[in-house]
Amino acid sequence: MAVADDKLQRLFDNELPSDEAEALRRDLSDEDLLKLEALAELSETVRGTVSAEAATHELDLWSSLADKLPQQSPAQVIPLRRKILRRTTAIVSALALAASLVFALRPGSPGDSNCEIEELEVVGTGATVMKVADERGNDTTLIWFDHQEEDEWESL
Amino acid sequence: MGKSVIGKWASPLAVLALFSLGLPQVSAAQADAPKSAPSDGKASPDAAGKAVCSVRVIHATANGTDFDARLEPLRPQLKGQAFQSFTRFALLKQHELSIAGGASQNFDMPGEHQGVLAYEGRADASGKHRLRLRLEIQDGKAKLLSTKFVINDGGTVMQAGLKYDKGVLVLGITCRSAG
Repeated sequence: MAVADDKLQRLFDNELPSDEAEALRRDLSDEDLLKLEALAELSETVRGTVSAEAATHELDLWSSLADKLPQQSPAQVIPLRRKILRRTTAIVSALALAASLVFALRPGSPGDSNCEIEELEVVGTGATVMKVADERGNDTTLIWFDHQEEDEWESL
Repeated sequence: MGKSVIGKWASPLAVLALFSLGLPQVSAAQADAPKSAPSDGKASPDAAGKAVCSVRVIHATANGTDFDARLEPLRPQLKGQAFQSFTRFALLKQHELSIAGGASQNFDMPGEHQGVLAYEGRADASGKHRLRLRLEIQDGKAKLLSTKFVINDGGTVMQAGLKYDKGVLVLGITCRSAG
């Protein structure tokens, strides 16, 4: 008995449940097989025709969508290296600012003696005036008078 | 794409940082500006008030490694390159002097030496309180050293080099104005 055409079409399209399709395949007549063969040829022909037609018409979705999008100014693109450099500069600057403020505003500041030697006289061969740093990095003036024993009897 | 907040403030922050880093140098430079006080060092006692000075007499030697705990305020200076030949520092005496403007006070030093510290008055400059002092070191009647200097209020000046007991004597003089 020949299978109904709609059922044969569903079998061809793999739309039947697997057990039903399996049972149906066992009962196919020669006529049904020929119909399935014809369906396969028709399907192949249609697929080839549609593909050839689509190839001749290039689909351009962007041009139609772009016109519908709201107008925006182009985004500013910052190279990653420059962006990192900017951030580093900002962080270093902020740290430098904080450090300098701490240095300038710390309690007891200014601690620098700012010593000025206006006069200096010594006996003997002379003296050396030098700067030595204190705990805050400020300079303390040191007058080094290299006193020799023979200077004991001299006087200014 | 918007600018990052940090990136936006980078330049102003850099300018601020450079400006504030320059502040200590500017203030130091101002302190070195010509003094408005008379240079003869003869301020009247009323105008000068008095100076309160702490004179530390220190013995520095190369024998031992002890560091007198009372010398902590001067540790950075004493442990610096200028005193690299010495490893032991002892506070022999600390004199607290109150010196009226135009007056002087003596203080004892080991080895029959004597120190004389005179307060010659204020020498303010650029809004900074500064003191003009004279230090003399005597050996009996002989004057070995005489120096006149100006320091910030609360500042310290050091003198060293007098030979004493296998080492040298170091003076640490810190003065501030009072009254």
